[in-house]
Amino acid sequence: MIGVRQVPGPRYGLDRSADHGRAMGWLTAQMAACRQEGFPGLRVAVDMSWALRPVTGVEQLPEFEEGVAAALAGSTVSVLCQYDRERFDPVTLATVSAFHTRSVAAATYHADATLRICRQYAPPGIRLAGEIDYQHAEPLALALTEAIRFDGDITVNMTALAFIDGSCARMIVDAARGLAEGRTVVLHCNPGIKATFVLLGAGDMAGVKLVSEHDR
Amino acid sequence: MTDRARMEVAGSGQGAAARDGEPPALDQAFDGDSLFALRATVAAHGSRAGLSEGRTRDLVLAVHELAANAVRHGAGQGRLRLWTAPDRVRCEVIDGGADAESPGAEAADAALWHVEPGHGLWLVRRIADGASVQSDPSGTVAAVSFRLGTPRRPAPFRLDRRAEGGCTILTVTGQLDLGSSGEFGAAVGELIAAAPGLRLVLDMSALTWWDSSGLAALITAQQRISHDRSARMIVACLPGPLAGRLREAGLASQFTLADSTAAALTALTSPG
Repeated sequence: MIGVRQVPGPRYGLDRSADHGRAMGWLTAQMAACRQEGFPGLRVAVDMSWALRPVTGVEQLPEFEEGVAAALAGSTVSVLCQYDRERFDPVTLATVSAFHTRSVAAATYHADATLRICRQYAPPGIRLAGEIDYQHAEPLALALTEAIRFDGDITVNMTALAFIDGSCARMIVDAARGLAEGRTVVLHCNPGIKATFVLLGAGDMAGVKLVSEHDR
Repeated sequence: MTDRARMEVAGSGQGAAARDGEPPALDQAFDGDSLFALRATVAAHGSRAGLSEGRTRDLVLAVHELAANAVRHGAGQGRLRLWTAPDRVRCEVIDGGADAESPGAEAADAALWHVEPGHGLWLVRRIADGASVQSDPSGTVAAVSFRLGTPRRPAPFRLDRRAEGGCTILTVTGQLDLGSSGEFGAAVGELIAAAPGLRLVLDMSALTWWDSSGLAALITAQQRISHDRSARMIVACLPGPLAGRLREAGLASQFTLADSTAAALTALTSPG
């Protein structure tokens, strides 16, 4: 039997010292509740972006991860810690990776020396980096299709995209246009590729929001 | 869209071979696997010839679209030739290579190059300073040119605003490009936010040139003005060659043009 529930996680607030303890207390309580209800195991997914907030801070991470690793030892509980690669620096990621039995990269649709297409967690959507042209239309189409299945607004993060050709730009615009009314696709561009989207008419399209560092 | 725009100039005698004797600065074969390298090479040549950063990006995109067209819808391969003259960079993309080694069926197929909106040429027309496609039995040649700025140091970018007769006149001096279009967009945004029903005249008499970012900034400004039904914008004194570019890009109908700021002010203040 599998039960899925969304439980509000512990809130990380102003009291630095209490945060780590509260999170561990919450996890232990959940583990006990599951045992009591007869579930054979528990899986928890945690968005680790909280560690980037100024009042908690990255310095608490190793302690937190160590505590979680200790609590899980010998149990049938697994915790998935989600780190956004764009927001956490490589040194922090290397430090915390030691506490994890396994590491998985974010859903990656394409990765080679010239192009990387992967999922982005916050804000939800996809991220493109490098150079993309029609030859990579297939992984782009898959990434867009999966992103569109998320609820709400989605972001196509192209801030690190050095080149996009007309056919891929058009594919992104078409995907955005096909979205249900009330949903928005944010096309986050760098100034160098924004013009291509404007020339394709994306600047005046319902459901498409074109932003770049230029904008205020 | 069933309507295909087919461009062919048969028997014009202006095929790949009949070019003004000057040897090209770059003559490179390409196929689907070498477009990345082609883009890098073209970027280096464009930048070295003196094109601005934004214009170099435009050149790379234009050449890529033409080369990708030859790969996907033509012979599957081709040649790029690039010349630099004092006043412009010119590129030819020759579908199928058009050399003596492959004169067979491929070249004959390539002679009919269907140009559809989805096939990139439409985008090329919007960003290049000149674009043409010619076909004859030896193959299809697509050419683009990008104007080089004057060798003299160009006027630095500047925006000046003044009020006159209930209208705002924004004078744009220098290049409206990748470097300056952000400042232009922000200035127009501030004017729109400050005055509902804005009547804006863009005085373009001192505009030297634009790149695709500059053109996009103009389009965006017009779109933002159009969101406010009572606001209006007139583009005044656009230098002749740029007005021509706007027409060739198929964008002239999006703007209201005027020959002088006086004419623009009259149009904005007259009832109806």
